[in-house]
Amino acid sequence: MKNYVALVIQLVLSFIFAAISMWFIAIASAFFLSFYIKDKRKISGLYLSIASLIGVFLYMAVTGFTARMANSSLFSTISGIPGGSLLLFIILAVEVIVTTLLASLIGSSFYK
Amino acid sequence: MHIRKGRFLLSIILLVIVLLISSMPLGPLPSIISMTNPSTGIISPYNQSVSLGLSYMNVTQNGSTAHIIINVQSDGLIGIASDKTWGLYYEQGYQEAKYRLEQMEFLKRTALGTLAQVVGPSAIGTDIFFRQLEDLQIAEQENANLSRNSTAYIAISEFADGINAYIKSLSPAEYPMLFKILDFQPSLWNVTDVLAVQQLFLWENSAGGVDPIYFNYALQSMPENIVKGIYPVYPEGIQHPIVPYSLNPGIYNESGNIGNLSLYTPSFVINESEMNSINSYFADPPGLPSWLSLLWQDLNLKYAAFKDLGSNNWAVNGIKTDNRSALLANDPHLSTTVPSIWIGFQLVSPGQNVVGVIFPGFPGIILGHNPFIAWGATNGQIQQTYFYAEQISPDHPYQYYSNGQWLHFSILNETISVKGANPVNLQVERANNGVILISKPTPIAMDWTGLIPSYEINAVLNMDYAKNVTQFRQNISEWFKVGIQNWAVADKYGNIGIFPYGRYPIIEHGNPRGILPGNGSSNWVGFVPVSQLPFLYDPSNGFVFSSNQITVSNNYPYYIGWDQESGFRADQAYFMLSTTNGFNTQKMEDIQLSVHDYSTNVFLPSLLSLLRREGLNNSPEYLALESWNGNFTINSTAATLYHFWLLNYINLTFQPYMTAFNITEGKGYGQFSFFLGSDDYYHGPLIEDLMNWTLNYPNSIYFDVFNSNGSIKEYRNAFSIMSEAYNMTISTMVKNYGIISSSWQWGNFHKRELSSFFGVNSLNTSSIPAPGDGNTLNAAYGMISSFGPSWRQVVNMSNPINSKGIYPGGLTENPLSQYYSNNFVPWNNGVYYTLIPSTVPAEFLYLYVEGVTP
Repeated sequence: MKNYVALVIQLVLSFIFAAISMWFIAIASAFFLSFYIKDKRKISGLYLSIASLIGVFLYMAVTGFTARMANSSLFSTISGIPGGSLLLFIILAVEVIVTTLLASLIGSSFYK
Repeated sequence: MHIRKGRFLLSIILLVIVLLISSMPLGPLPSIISMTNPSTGIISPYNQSVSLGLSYMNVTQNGSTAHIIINVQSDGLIGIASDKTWGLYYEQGYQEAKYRLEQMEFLKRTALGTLAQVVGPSAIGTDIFFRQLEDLQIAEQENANLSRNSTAYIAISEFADGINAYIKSLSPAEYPMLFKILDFQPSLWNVTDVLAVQQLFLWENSAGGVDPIYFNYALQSMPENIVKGIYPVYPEGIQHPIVPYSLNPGIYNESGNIGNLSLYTPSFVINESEMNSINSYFADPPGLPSWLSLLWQDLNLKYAAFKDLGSNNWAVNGIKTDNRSALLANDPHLSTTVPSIWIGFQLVSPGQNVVGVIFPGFPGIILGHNPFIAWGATNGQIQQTYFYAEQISPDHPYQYYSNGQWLHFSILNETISVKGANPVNLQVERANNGVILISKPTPIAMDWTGLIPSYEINAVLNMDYAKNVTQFRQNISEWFKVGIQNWAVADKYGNIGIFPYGRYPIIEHGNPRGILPGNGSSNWVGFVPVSQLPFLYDPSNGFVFSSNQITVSNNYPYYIGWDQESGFRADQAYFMLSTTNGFNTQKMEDIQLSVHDYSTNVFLPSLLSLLRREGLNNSPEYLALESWNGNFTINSTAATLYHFWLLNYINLTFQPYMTAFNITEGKGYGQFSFFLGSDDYYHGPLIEDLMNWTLNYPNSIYFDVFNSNGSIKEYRNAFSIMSEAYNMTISTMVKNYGIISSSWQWGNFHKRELSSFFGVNSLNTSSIPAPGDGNTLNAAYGMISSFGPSWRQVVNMSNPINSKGIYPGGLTENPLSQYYSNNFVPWNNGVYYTLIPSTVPAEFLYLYVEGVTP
């Protein structure tokens, strides 16, 4: 599989998984894609994880950010956790990157 | 195939750790994965929105179709008109759920004692208490007793169906924020749930509370003559009873029970270990673990008690109006919260067109008007709770002694689920004189009139249809039993009345102001018969009124409690009502918004006289006080000075009693108005004493400082204490705020805010300068006031369609909406809205305009 194709697939799948309330399945797709990439040295797991992040956030952008940010801000207010409207987005971004990066590292551990 | 083992293993381990952490609940919060889910989590793109304007719908049930019109107004009222009454209540349930689902869930869970299940350990104490009150069991009995064909049953079940229809229409992504934050789903409603919420409201409106437990300490530690002096059952100062002897002597004829009671001596003596048990029962329940509290300090969600501190209502008839019509005004003083404890409706269906407010979780309108009558309520302050110390013996386990025999406690085993902690097993015991609140070392039972099933829901639904004062009175006397209210009513025929009807318990012996012996000698033997209950109907003076003052004159034959307000609001209302003629809507509003503190009529002349004698009559403080009219406006400097002086005067007068008789915090000091609680300047006996003594007995021995044996330690009089209080006030003010200037203005010190119904401080509104204090008709209790007129209504029954009203807050519980608190500032500024706007569709004019159908 060509590397850019893997990135596109990961982005699209992340978008779809986010839409069906299961963005974390992108962890599995990151694993399989990195497993099947031929030249693992030419692609970093970080690219796959960024593709995942773009996919998830693209879904949120398409379906509206304003209400999401307001809800995040309200959560921050109620819980007393600083971060305001960005709080949950930052957490989500870190979570997506870390988990998909680790999954792609696992997938790329295998070689011929 | 080869494998890079190090990378593989390390990555696997890290991924598992990250996923585990992400999927674990975080204290009271859901997991990170759940919270951050873009489709269903907190950052999903949904929130509760308000759809203003008209909408039309049909609902079909069992082959019958209800045509429904909904008109959502920005003032927080929702108009619903339906050609089927069942459709009306169905839609009311739907609309209440649409705008107040979180609030209703909390109310229901509080009533059922299941709040800790979603909130965590901080709600265990609340759950225990309401399980002990047996709300669920009583609601089940009430449900079983309701005829399936009765108006009430049909209304409640349709109402619950409407709520459930809304809940079922929601996807998890659309759940309101608190459900997501606390990670639980809204529960469906049934008839029992609504009746359990009824029990909660009745409890919140029941006067007496736990006062007798703590007042018992005064009874047992103070000499009888001192108890008589500072805690009289009937205050001697200025009082304008709601039903004075002069206006209804007929209810004063019976022999009653008050002559048989010993109201100044204890019937039971509490020892230290019992006091400790009582204190631990009423102490704050355990909250979040400290490490968690540090992280989420404000996430201590709880049920915000209503704190029913006072209210006003009055009605005037043709004697007081030029056009011979009757008018009514009402402003119940409850917690002013966001979301509001009220939600407003205009409800139209065959036979009714009623507008006003109701507690979320309840169908109908409880305070409002229809084309024929208008009504309002204030708390009757009739003692609804009596406490008993049960007699037990190791030889008779699980039994108590009553009327010469050993009886078994009835026992109910309950398990309270607690989020994030182990379940709490609870054994609820009940004797024939109440539920056991504290079981060791001596079981203390509380008898409450609400432990007997009652059907106030019938009263609420029937009053919406009432056509005149007589019908209203009959309805109240039949159905409204608990949480007694002073119901003021005015009808289109010019009649007025006030009816504090309900269950007034009668005992034959003992002291109901403290803890009674549980041996049966002081059990309730019945209730005051309706024919002997206080009421006024078209009194000769042309008005009826109540401001939580004393209900009756001092020769009323029954003991009814002593938890009345100071009477200053009542004094001001009486003054304005008796001196005003030609009443119209504007004059009613002027009274309702009055910020004159009548206590200034009593204390200020004495203070000014003292200051003149002390040669301070040229001081700027004296000049400010001397030129002041007693109105607590936000720019008054004298108001600030007077307020703090009065607080000091009360404290300096009564603090020595607390010290001499060892009334410490553990015995209620600072918690109750009778023990110098924060409300002592407008509530309870101490301010009444001070008023009476200052006016009539400035050299009373009760100004002296006593020793614990009742002997006098230091001689004082009113003037010496007033002077000390004045010097203390000036000294503190100058030290903290400089010499008298605009920085002393009342509005710099006294503000209002709407507090979060859920106890989340960060969701409170900002505070704004506010006129009034705890003694003004436009009441604003405390310095950052979140209690006061929770609903203002003025109705002229010659033109009821132009009725006025407002409640603080807004329609929705969603803090992100502009309709969360949009009425707050207008309400604080004294704005009224026309409850039925001229732009409403014709259906909403049903019964006002001939030929219109709902």
